[in-house]
Amino acid sequence: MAGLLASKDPQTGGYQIAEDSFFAELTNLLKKEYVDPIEDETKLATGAIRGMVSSLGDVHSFYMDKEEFAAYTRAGKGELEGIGADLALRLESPQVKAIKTTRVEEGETTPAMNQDARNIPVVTVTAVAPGSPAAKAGVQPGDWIESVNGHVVISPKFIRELNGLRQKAADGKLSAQQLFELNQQFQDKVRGSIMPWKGKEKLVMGTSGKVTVSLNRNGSVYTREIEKGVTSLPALAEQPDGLVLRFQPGVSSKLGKAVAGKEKLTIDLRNSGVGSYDEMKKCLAILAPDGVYGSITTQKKGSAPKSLSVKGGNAKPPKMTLIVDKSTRGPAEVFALALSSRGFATLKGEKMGGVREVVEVVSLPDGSGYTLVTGTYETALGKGKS
Amino acid sequence: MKTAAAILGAVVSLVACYALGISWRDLQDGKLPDRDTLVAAVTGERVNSTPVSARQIFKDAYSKITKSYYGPIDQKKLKYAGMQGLLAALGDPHTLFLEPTMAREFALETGGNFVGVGARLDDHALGAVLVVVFPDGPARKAGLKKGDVITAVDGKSSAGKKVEDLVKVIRGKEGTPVRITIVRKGTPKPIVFTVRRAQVITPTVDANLVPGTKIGYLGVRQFSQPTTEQFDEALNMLQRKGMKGLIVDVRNNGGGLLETAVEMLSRFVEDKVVVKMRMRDGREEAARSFFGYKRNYNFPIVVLMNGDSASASEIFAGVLSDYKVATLIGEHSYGKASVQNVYGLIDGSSAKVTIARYFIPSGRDISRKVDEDGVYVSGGLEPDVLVKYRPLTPYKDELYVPSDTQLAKAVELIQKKTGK
Repeated sequence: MAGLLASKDPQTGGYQIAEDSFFAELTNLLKKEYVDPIEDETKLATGAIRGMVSSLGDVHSFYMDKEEFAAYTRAGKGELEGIGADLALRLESPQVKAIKTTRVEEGETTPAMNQDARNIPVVTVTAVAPGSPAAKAGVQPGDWIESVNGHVVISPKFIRELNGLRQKAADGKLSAQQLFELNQQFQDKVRGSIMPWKGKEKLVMGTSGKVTVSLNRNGSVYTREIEKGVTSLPALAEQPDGLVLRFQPGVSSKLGKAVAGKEKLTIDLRNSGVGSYDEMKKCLAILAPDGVYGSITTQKKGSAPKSLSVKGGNAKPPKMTLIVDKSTRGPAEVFALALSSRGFATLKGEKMGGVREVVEVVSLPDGSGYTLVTGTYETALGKGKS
Repeated sequence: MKTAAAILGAVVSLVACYALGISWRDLQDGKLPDRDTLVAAVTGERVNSTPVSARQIFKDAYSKITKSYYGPIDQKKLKYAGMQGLLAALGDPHTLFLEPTMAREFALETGGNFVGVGARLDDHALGAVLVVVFPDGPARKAGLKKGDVITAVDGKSSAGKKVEDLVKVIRGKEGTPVRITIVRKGTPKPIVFTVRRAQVITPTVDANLVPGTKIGYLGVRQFSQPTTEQFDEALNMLQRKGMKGLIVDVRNNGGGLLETAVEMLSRFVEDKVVVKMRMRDGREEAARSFFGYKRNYNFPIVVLMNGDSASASEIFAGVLSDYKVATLIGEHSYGKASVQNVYGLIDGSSAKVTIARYFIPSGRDISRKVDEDGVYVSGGLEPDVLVKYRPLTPYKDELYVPSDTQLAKAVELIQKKTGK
């Protein structure tokens, strides 16, 4: 095609097209040939971005459309919508890549049905905001979502069930009638089932309306009807257990005052929610002295780890006790590990969430956005102790 | 002095022009830069900049992901994923990006030269049932029979798989073997047949009277080039047998050639508009059925369709419904009322793009709408009588016998109308 900038691919000898030429060429093709006029090219760009981020196969790097991104941003500021719980897509085995393809095939078959069960993430509750509709319904961190409003949320368990039905049919012990009923069961289960991220969306967005959720806790399933609403998670609050600290935008400017003059300090890092890595670093500098608190590594060949260091820190750090549990994850978990690994804090409570990815949040001009993992935190001692 | 000032003036203006990005050559050519460029040069902003910024948005994201993501990035894979996302953003399931491997496969599939085993498969819980074994095909030669149920292909269980997926594995290179495991009525254990693949010419129509009735059943599996002739032969055969009702079954028929559909429709409606095409520029074209092929049917006609009836099937069913020639029974059709062109790119990838839409005579837009995950939202032709597909109990494993609710309804409706 004329006008396409291409270079020869060293491996295959074929042509390789530069990414922005590719974009321009396809956009022009659509403008010229597509049956409807292309009115919004930005939609094409964000669609492309959605495709690229999905291809990373990483549960912590995901694209959100305008509404989702707005809800995500509000959650980062402590305003939780939906049922008021933190939900994460978790893979059974962290080594496996998650599937999250934009489906481009025609027809009804969902690629998920033929996937290895391990490639499907599980929609897991990682934190329940105190006073939230989810808390009132008795939802607990660790519960995972089986269905929303009657739609099965595709999960490894679901895929295994389907494979079980397939196996039963193949065993040849059933009559033709039983086989057809089995096939119908199969079709009925599959019809109306939704992808994990769609299931999550239904629970973390919207400020009103009821939603019926079936959750799995250690193998047993329970169902609740929950009224969506708005739950506030304060960034900083003095509680009987300790000082609740959440890494929301602007909290670092209030932290100094809250801890001034204290020699001993208990900080509650549970239900930490979506936190800002940059804000966490600022808080670290308020509480801890100058030094290196670990490193951020990548999996890229030939790249050296960057250190997590504090400059302009606190020369007289308080003795800290940090209350943690599995709802402590992300920046809060890094914070806890950074301080405890250097002896400035002791950890009290339960094992943390195990999420030490450093995530960058990128907003796009049309109001949508995406998260991108840029590194993993490790303490100076090697893999973090939890 | 005047000259010096003039020269200075000239130099200053030239420098000013240069600084604003307007070249000497432009001025020499007599071209004055357009207003937008001038404004942009002065204000530093770009007027009319939307086309560039969408590209820039994409470019920036590509850059960021490649540079900042913590894992290794396969740039080619990332680009292709981006292009897939770009085309998917239109929400049109038929406009999509094919990376080089898939583009090649697609070209092969639509090329029409199939190398397979010579059998027609239909859905079955165990995999597929052989409803037709072509008389001159490799399957017949190897010993496969009509009614055999496939349970495995090359050792892999076919249970729960869709017919199209099985067909893909069964087809292959000419001369290569494929092992097909079947269960057959009366044989206790599954049998494995090794079949050598060869070129096959597909019969696309199969017909017979429904046992115990004078109702003709005419299954049309594809709208290919030879289909019209096969269709006429089937109609002749059924008329010879004294048919007093007709069921045309286009369930699971994904479509084919528009010309074939128009020809076949000419057997039912004469010199009437059968499809209107609306092109990209708003231009409309209409296709009419022909003169002289219409037959007299003094009995009820039913067309069976389902969610996999697409394209030419929908036109066929839709036209007969619009002109009140037939009753539509079954479930809503797929909703593909559009035509695509495939554009090849230098690197071997392709873009399949919808370039026009079809409308049946009543003008209804039946095009399918999907969400960004590709899940059906709306679209398709609605049947006159909605019947969900369910096998009938007791399930009879015999062809042409009404073994499903949709076919049974069709028979019931015709019998009611003819009072028989």
